[in-house]
Amino acid sequence: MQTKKKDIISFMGLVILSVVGLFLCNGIDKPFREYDPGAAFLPRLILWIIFGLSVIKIVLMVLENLDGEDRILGKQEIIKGLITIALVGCYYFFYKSLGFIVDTLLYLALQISVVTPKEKYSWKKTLSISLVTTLIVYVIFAVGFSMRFAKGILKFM
Amino acid sequence: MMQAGFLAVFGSPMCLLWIFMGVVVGLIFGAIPGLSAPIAVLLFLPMTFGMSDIQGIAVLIALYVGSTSGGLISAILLKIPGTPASIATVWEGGPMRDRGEAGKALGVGILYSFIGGIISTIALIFISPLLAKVAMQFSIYEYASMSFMALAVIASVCDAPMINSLISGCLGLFLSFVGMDAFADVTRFTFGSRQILSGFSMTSLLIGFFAISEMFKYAFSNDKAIGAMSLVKMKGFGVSWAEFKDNFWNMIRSALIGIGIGILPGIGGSTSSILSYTVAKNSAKHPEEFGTGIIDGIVASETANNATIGGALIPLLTLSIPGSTVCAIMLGGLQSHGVFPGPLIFENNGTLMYGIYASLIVANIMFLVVEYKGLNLIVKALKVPTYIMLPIVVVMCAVGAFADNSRVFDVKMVFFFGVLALLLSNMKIPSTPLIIGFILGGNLELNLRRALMYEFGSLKLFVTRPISLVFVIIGMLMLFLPIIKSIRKYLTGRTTIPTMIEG
Repeated sequence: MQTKKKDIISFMGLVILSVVGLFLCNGIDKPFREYDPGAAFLPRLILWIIFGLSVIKIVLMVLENLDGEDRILGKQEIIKGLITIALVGCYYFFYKSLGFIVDTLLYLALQISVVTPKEKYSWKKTLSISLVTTLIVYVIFAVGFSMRFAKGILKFM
Repeated sequence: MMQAGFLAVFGSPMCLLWIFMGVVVGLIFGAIPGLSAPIAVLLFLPMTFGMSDIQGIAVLIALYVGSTSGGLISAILLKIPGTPASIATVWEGGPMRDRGEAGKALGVGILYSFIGGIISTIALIFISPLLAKVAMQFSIYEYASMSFMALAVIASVCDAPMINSLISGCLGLFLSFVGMDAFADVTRFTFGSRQILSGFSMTSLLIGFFAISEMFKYAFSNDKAIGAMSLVKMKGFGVSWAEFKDNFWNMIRSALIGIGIGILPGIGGSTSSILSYTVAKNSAKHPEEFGTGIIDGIVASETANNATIGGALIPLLTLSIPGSTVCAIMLGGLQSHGVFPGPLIFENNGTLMYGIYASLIVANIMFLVVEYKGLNLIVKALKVPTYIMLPIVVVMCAVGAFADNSRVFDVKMVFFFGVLALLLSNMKIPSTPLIIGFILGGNLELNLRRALMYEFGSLKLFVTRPISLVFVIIGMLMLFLPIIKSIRKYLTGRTTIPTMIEG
């Protein structure tokens, strides 16, 4: 039942997305010249299809017991997953401000700590892997391929 | 052109070295469950930007060949497919391993992967010029209807309910519309951001969908470390002459299935290997023996999944339609080298085409030697656990996304697409139709609107031009045939209304 509710909410999200999209299409309905259906033609058509299919899917789920075969996630798994999403998000969003080296080092150290099983975790090993990986990637791409990474807080270098 | 193309590969030690490295890295990626061909190719795509076009594409092809072939290692030794293309190999390789015949299973898999790869390379060499000649007849009507057909094919054969596949394809189309309109002076769904005026970066989308989402899925799972693979004694390829003769037609049929599936856009090695396994089982004199550990199943699976590679390159190079996810990534690689696949590719980039053929031949020979001789070394290299490998993959993804346009915005988009992929995966919405919809959306809209403008709003020429008509009919059949079948089943009482509608 939980899975079914979750699926219905998910597909309602698609319905809302398509309604918002259809509303935004009103502002871009501008043909290039005569007989051009306009910039909003295909987006509108596609959004209507998404709307229609999502509504059909919701109706089917309500009418029948179309539960998915998801296994129930444990609390630990959910926390681990959410922390991972946050870590990856922070890594990518602070890429420029912290700089590649600091950002990558911090990300690897924290991410490996989160996903490593408790019995296998060692902070020395995690730190070494993070440092070595960061340096190897930096040397290969910045020095070897002349890629210009963001320096961030290491601007003085 | 042919001489120049072949010499650029065979006569260049640097190119041969790159192919060797690509094959080795690809084998390792293919053998590790959770990593796959798209991730291997994506991660090394930025490295190819600084190489010549032939070398760059040669590396990507080597990675593709290596990772597709590497999947059989864990499929047999761990009973876990290293890549989706090796699912069917588990069904026979696993029982063979349990009986102490792991060496024979691996030898058979390696040999027939090589044979499948060579057969599909020959098909690529002979079919692609013919297809390019046919494609010269294409105009805006054929391109638009072909894009429609490709999307319809993917939606109907994807391994998900058809409604979900259609939603996925439509979402991909919608994402392709973001940015500046190609004709009118309007921006669509940019919300004032200048950075997406040119639309979303394909590299960011692919990285987000295939690599970052894997990190998220792993984090949400309760994955214990996989047991270590043990070393294996190999004696020849484990195939006697009698066994080779018995499996000859199995091999040919599986190669043709692989090539055919490869040509169809959006379908990959997993479908071809399962399909050819199923066909081999149904055609066998003793189908009950399948699943107990016989080489026929491995022959079918491994020949087909490697044959898919050459098949997938055919529509990519001649029609600019990727035949698989990896080909979609390679399309990005080709474009970054200033190569635009299509019917004129032989005229504009003939040397490159022959270079690609040579790379495929070399990559297939190299993986045969490397995988056979270096198997135990590869097993040792696979001891890096997934919980260390995947965070490193995330870092490489950031590097890859940044390398595309040197924009931090693209790196942020990778995160956005990774989260989107996770959400869609929870809703059982497949990602392949979305990717193909994104790739083909621009083409479809451009040609459809041009056609309407030229024909004063009429769609008549889509059905009066013969090639376009064929594409439209195939597309309609692929969309409506499953629905008609479902209605028939409902009328004969074999299904319910919701199952019928869902497809």
